[in-house]
Amino acid sequence: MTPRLLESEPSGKAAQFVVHEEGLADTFFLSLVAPSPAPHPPGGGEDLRHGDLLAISSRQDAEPGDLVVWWLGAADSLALAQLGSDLRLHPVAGFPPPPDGDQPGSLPPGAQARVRGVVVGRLRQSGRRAG
Amino acid sequence: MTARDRSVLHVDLDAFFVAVERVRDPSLVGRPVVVGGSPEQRGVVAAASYEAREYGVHSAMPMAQALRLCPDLVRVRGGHGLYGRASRAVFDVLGGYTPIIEKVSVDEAYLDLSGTGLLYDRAVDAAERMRREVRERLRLDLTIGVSRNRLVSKVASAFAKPRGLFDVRPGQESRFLAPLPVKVLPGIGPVTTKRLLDFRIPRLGTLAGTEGWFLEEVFGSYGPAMQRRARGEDDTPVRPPWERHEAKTIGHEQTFPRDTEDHGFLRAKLQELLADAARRLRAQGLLARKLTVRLRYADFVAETRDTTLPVPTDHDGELLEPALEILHRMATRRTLVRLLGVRLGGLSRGYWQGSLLDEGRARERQLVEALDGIRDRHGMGAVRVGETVWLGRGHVARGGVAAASSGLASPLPPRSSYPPDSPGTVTPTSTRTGGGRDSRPAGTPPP
Repeated sequence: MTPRLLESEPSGKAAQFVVHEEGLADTFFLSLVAPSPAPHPPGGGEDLRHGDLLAISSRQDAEPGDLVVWWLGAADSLALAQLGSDLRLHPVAGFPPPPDGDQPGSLPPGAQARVRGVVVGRLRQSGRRAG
Repeated sequence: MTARDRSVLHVDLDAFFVAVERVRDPSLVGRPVVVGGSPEQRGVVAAASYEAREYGVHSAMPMAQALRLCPDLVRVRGGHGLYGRASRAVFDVLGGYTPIIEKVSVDEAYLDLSGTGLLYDRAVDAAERMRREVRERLRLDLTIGVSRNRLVSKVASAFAKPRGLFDVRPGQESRFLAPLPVKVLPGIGPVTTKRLLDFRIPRLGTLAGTEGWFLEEVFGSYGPAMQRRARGEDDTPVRPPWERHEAKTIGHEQTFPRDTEDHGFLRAKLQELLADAARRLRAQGLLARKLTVRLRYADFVAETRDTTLPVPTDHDGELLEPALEILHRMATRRTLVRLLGVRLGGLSRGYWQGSLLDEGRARERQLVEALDGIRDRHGMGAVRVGETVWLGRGHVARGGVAAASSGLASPLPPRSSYPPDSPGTVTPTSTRTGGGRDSRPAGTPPP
């Protein structure tokens, strides 16, 4: 079972991060749902764990080294990856690699793996659990 | 160690005074609680629980107004001796993680964990352990912001409240701040916020991307500095006590519950305020060279006078005589006095040293230190000397000041059991400092 990312609303003041302008949220939160026991450490080298709320910035371009969220356009396809210096997305934390658009049949018709946002931080709130 | 390798934590105790009161009396958990003075004595809210804040109650609000907003509000008078002990217990725990701690207040600090990677792997791991340890040992909650600098950690912790931990990824400081309103950045006050909004700069991301020349034109040299901070750049070091610049002044002032013309009361109050200020001097290893006394009259006219002492001192006795002389020269108007304050300035590091050959003064010094120990433990009202004894006997000043009922003369607070002996220990409500809980509905006359 692979980990998942679920759209989530933080409680308390963190909710102020979710700013909507022109119909888009600058920053939004995804909660990390990791299977237990995880086949990979939930965060790999990123020290992420089940229940973490990841703050995602969607307005600026990703740079090499950034931890990013990519998707195929549907919420159930959200996944984490690291943008390498080769400008390719490398899977992390047990998430699947993005499908290779060059391989025929690897993507549903019309779908395209693209970066949804950059992970800028992680919030842990006591008493809050993912999923 | 470069700025890129730093790990700075901003640690904040959630609703600290209220949390300590709840450790002492678990029946307060889940109820709207405030710590502060009595509404009949012009008391204000010193701290409010999150439940009380939902009613619009906040710190510094007049207690009478808070009770109107939330009729079920539970008021606790509070005991600063207890909060001091609880704070020290928390900082003892934090000190086990790093010696580089800059204490900002009784419930807030910066910690520099740079270079502790071999011990804790990541700063966020240490932060998690701190939160757990403080929760388990002291039953208090910490909120922590983690990043590469003080500024971003401070903002992060503000948005992680309550009981949260916000860890900003290295290199993402600017993106993290970008969506936030400009007013959340420390150093941007209401006036600057208004000017920024006038120029359609509502968010830190907008400020970070504004042309530097424009900001300099509008805000002078502060403009570019403000812009760097909006980008999350800050190299201010965390200063432990031995590196910190000393306070410029130490002072206390008090607005009386009722205005007074009683000079005996004013002298006693002056002595009490000075004793408290001098105790803080000694606690920080400082000496004062300058003494200022401030009066505000009932018609709000304020008067301030100061004097330079012949030698720097931290001794109550050496401060009192010139202070009384100033007061005598000042209080000449035939108007009731509303507020009295003292301020000690010209501070330098050092300790008062009487003559080695003067045994009497050496004994006096020992006495002062013994009094400090008792007052640290039990509060300023625990031991009274000189004219302040009046305040402890419920002296009613001419002009209508009811000292005993004003909280100026709190009874000796009982020795509190802080930190708690074990989780779940219930301390009887009757042991609370001052026994000051007041759950009467707003408008109910005092018994």
